[in-house]
Amino acid sequence: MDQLQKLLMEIRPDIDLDSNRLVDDGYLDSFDIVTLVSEIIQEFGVDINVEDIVPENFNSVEAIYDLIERLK
Amino acid sequence: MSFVSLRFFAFLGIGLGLYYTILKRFQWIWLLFLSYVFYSFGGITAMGYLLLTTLTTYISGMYLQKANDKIQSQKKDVNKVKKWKQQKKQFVFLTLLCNFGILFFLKYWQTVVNVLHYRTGILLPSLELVLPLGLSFYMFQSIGYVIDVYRGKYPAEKNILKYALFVSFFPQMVQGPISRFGDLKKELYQKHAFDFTSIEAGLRLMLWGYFKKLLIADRASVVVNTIFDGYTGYAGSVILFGVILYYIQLYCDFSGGIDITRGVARLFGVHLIENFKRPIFSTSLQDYWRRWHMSLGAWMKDYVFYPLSLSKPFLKLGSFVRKHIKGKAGQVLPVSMATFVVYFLIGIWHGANFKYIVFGLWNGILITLSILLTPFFIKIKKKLNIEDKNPIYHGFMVLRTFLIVLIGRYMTRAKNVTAMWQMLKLTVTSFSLKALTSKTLMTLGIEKKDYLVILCGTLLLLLVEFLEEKEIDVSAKSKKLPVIVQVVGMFLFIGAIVVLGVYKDDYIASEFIYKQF
Amino acid sequence: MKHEKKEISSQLWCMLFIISSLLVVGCILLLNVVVDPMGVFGDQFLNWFSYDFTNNPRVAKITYLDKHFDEYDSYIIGCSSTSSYPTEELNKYFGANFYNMIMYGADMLDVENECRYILAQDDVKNIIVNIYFSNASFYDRESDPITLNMHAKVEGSSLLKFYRKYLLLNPQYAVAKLKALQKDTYLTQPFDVFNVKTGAYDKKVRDAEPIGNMEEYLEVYPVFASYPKASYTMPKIDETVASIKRIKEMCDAKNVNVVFVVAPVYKESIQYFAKPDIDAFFTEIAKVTPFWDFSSSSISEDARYFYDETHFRNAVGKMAIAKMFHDDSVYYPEDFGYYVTLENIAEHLQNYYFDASQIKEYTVKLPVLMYHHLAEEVQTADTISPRRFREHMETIEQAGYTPITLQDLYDYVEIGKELPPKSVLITFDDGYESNYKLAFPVLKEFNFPAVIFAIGSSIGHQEFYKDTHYRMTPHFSYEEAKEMEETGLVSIQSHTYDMHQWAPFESGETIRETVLALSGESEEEIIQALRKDARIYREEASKNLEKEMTALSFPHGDFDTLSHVILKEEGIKATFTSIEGSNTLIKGLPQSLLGLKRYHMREEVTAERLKEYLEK
Repeated sequence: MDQLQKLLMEIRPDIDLDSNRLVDDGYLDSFDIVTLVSEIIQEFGVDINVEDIVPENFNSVEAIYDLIERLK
Repeated sequence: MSFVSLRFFAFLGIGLGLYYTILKRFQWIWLLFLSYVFYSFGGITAMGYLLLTTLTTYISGMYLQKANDKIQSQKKDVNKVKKWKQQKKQFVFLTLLCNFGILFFLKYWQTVVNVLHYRTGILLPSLELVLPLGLSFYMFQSIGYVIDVYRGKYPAEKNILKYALFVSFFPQMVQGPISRFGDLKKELYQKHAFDFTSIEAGLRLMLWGYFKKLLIADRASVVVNTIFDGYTGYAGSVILFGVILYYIQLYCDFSGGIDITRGVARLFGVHLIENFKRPIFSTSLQDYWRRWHMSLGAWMKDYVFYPLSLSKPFLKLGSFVRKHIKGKAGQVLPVSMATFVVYFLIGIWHGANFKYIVFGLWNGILITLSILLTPFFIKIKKKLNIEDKNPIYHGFMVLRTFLIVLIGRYMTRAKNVTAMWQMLKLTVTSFSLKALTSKTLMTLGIEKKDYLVILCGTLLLLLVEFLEEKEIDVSAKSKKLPVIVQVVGMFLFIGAIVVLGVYKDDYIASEFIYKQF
Repeated sequence: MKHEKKEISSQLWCMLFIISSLLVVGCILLLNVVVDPMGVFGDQFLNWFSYDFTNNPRVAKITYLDKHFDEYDSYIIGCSSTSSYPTEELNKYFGANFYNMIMYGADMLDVENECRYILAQDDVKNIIVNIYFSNASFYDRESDPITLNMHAKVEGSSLLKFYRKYLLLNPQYAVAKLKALQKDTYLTQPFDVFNVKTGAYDKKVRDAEPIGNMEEYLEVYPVFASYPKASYTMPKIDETVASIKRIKEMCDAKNVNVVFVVAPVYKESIQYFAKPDIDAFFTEIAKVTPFWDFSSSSISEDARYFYDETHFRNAVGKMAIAKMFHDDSVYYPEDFGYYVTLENIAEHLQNYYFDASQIKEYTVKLPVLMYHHLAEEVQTADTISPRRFREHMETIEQAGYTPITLQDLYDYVEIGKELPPKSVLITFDDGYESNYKLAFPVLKEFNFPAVIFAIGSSIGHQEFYKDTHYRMTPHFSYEEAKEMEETGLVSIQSHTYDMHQWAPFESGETIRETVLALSGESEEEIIQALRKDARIYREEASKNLEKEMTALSFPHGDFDTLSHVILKEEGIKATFTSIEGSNTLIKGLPQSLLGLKRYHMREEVTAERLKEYLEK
C-alpha cells in the first residue's frame, strides 16, 4: 500500500490520496494511468490487461490495491 | 436525407407519432425500420456496405461469445483455454481486417490511385467510389462492440435485428457520436413512454444545433473557403481571421450537428453520449482533446491508446529506456509514442494527407512536453504562489490553449503541408493589421449583414457556454422568465433560424435582368 | 421580498414551442400573401404589379390578367424584345385592345403555353408571336424556379406545390419589396420596369432621352462601340418550329388572327449566328406559316435605333407595325420588313443581309439659333441690335441656308419628309415685344420662319413684372402673337407658363426659376407643378391663340430626366436647351427632337462667326 502511494505521488504530486473519484474527477488521465500501470507491472510483477483498465479500478488507492491483489 | 429539409421533418413527425401511439409495443423495431428508411436515401450500394458490416460484426460477436462461454466452462483445461483464446484472437483479427479493409478501401483507394500514378506512372482504375453515409461512425461503433465482446465486457447481442438497430440508429448516421453498445443497448431496446421532458430536451438540443450550424457555421464556411483557397493573396491578419473563423465554423458545424442528432434521439427517448464539452474553455491541449469529439477520443483511448501503450513491445521499450535514462523520460516515451499514433490516426481518419503526420507530431510533441514539464510547472506555481483557480491564471491557460489549438487548425484545414507552412509564415511575417479592413471583408463572399449574424451568434454562444461552464443551468433559468417573454424569445429564436438559416441560399437579391432603365 | 420563481413545466414549454413555431410559419405565410412579392396571390394589399411583373413576369401577368381579361382581346407574346411593339400603336392599327405578354428570356414553349392559356378565354381576336433568333438556340430551358417559372395554371403542373412554394417563399423577397416601396418614384426604377396596363416595359425614361449624333450615343452606350463577340448555334429549330406550328393550329382552330413576327436585330448580333442556321430556321418557319421578317435592314445598321445590344426601340416597333399595315404617313425605311412566304423565301434569304453601301441618308444636321431681346442700346449679353439681327438674316440668305418651320422639323423625323439641303431654325426666347416690333418685320421681309418661346405669365405685360410695380422689358400681347402666328411665319411655343420667375421680383414662398425641383421638394410636388404649369398654358394658348403648343425651350436651359418625361406626357414633342452645338435629326426617332442645342446669338456674333456656326 505504501509503495503504491509513493508511486502515485511520483506520478501526480498534486494528487489527493483520500479521494475515491481519482479518474472521474480528472486527477488521473489516460497518460497517468498508462504510466502508473507500467510502473505497477514493473514493481509488483503483476500482469494488468487492457480489459482491467476501467475507471472503477482506478478511482481510489484502495481500488488499485485491490486490483493488484486480485491479479497476483 | 438532410436534417434541414421538409422531408426530414415529415419523416420525423410520422416516426414520432407512431412511435408513441400505435407502435408503442414495437418501438425498437419501428426505430430499426425508420433507420433503414432513412439510410435508404443514401443509395443501395451504401446499404450493402452497412449490411456487410452489420453481418460480419454480428457473427463475430456471436462466435466470440461462444468462445468466451467455452473458456468459462472449460476453465480447468489449460490447453483448451489456450486454443480458444488463440481462436478468439484470430477471429477478431479477421473481423477487423475485413471491416477496416472496407473502410480503407472506400476512403483511400482514390489516394492510392493518385499517389501511384504520380510516383510510378501506373494507372489503376479510379472506380469512382462514393463514401457511404456515416461509414466510419458505424464502423467504429461496431468494431468497438466486437472488441468489447472479445474482452468480455458484456455478452454479445443474440438478436440480429436488435444488433442491426445498434449499428444503424439513424440520428447518429450523419456524424456520430460513436456510442458504445454497453451504453446504448438499454436506451434503444427499452420501452419509452411519451414524456414531455424528453420532447422538451430534444427540441432544445435541436434548436441550439440548428442555430449553431445554420446561422454561424454555414455562413463562416464561405469566408473560410475563400481565404484558405486563395491564401497567397491575403495578409497575415486576414489569414488569421480566416483561421479563427474556421475554428468557429468547425465547432459550430460539428457540435451543432451533434446537438441535432442528440436532440432527435432524445425525442425518441434515447439518450446519446455527449461529444463536446465546451472545448473553448480548455486549459490545456490534453484537456482540449478530452472536450473535443469526446466519443472518438474515448474510442481511441480504449481501443488504440491503452492496448498500444500497454502492449509487450511498448512496455519493454519503456523498461529499456528507464534503465538507460534517469527520470521521467523513461516513463513518458511509450506514452508519447502511443499519443503520436493516436493523433496520427485521428488525422488520417479525416483524410489521407501528409499534413496529418505533422498534425500528429504537433499534438504528440506538445503533450509529451507538457507531461515532462509538469513537475517544473508545479514548482513555479508554488514559488509564485499561483493557485489553479486564480482567474487570471485560468484565463491565461485558456488563451494559451486556444492559440495552440488554432495553430493546429492551420494544419487540418490547409490544403497540404506547403500551404500550411506558407500560411503560418504569412501570418507571422506579413501580419499587417491594416489589411483587415471592412473593404477586404466584403470581398470574402458574404455581406455585412452576415458578419453581423456570425458575430452576434458567436457572442451568444460564448455567453451560454460560459454560463454552462460556471454550472449555471441556462435553460432552467430561462424557464423561470414570464411566459410572454419566453414566447417572444422563442419566436425570435425560431424565426432567426428559419429566416437567417434555412432560407440563406434561397434568395437571389433580385438580379433584375433589366438594368438598362 | 424575493420569490424564487418556478420553472414552467415541460408540457407548457412544448406548447409554447408549438405556438412560437406556428407564429413563425404564420408570419412568413402572412408576409408572403400580404406583400406578395411575385404577384402570385393577386397583390391585394399593395397592388403594385409593376414590381411583381419585374420579379416574375410569367406568373404575375397571369394573376393580373385573370382579373383583367375583359379589358383585352389581343395579345402579343414573346421574349423581351416583344415589349418594343407599342400596344397603343397595335391597338390603333388592329382596332383591338392589346396586352403585351413579354417574358424575359422566354422560349417558344413558354410562348406556346401562354398562348394556350389565353386562347381558353372568350373573344380573343389577335395573337402576335414575336420570334427572336435565340428562340432557335434554347427550348424548354431550366430556369429559376422562383422568378422565371411559369404559372402552374399555364404549365398544367401541380397548383398545390406552386402555391406552397410561394407561401413559404423566402421572406427576404417580401422585405425587398417593402424596401423598394420606400424608394419608389414616378420614374422607372430597376425594381419596377413594367407598365401594368399595357404589360410592356415602362420606357418613359428611355424614350425621353435626347438622341443626337453617333459619337455622343456611343459615349453613353459604349457597348455598341466594342460590341461583345460571341457565336451561337441553333440546335432547337425543330422544337421551336413545332411549337410555332401548334400555336398556329390552336389559333386557326379558334378563328383567331395570328401573326408571326421576327424582331429587328442589331447588325453585330445577327453575326452571332451562321447564315445556314438562319436559312434553316426561316425555311422551317415558312413551311408552317408566312411571317414578317424585320431582323435585318438598314435599321439594324444604326445603334441609335436600339436601347441596348439586343433590344430595339419602341420607335422601331412603331415603324414595324406601320410597315405591316403599309401606312405611308409614318416613316420607315423602304428596306425594313419583309413578308416571307414559302414562295418568296428563297429570294429573301438570298438578299438577306443589308448591303451597307446601299444605305440612304436618314439623318440631317440642323443648327438652331437662339435670340432673346432686340434693342438699339445693347445692355445685356442676351440683347442684340436690330442692325446685327438684319446682318444675320442676310448672312443666312447669302450662305444659301433655308430657315425651316417647326412643322418641317417634325415632318422630317416623323414621316421622313426631306428638309432643304441647308436648313436652319431661328428661335427667340422669353417673348419680348421687340420680337414683334423689330424682328418680325425683318423676318417678313426675308420670308424667314421662326419660333418664339414665350413665357406665358408675361404675355401682354408692357411695363411691370406680373402684378408688381417692378419695371421690366415689355412683352408682346396675345393679339400681337396671334398676328404673327397668322402669317404662318412665326410659331409661338412655350417657355413655360410661369416657371421662369425672376427671384428679386417675387414674393411668394416657392420661386421657380427653372423646371427643376426646388431643393427639398418632393418628386410628387414638382410633377404637380410641371403638370399645372402645362395645363394653364394649354388652356391660355387654346383660348387666345387657338393652338396647342408642342415645343418648349427650358428656362435657363436647365432640364433633367423627370422634366423631360413629364413634358412629353403633357404633349411636348421638341425641347430646346441653351447648350451650344449642332443637332442631328434622325428619321423615325422622336428622341432626336429632344434636348436640341442652340447657338447664342449675341451682339458679338459676327457674320463670320454665324457662318462658322451654320457649317459646324
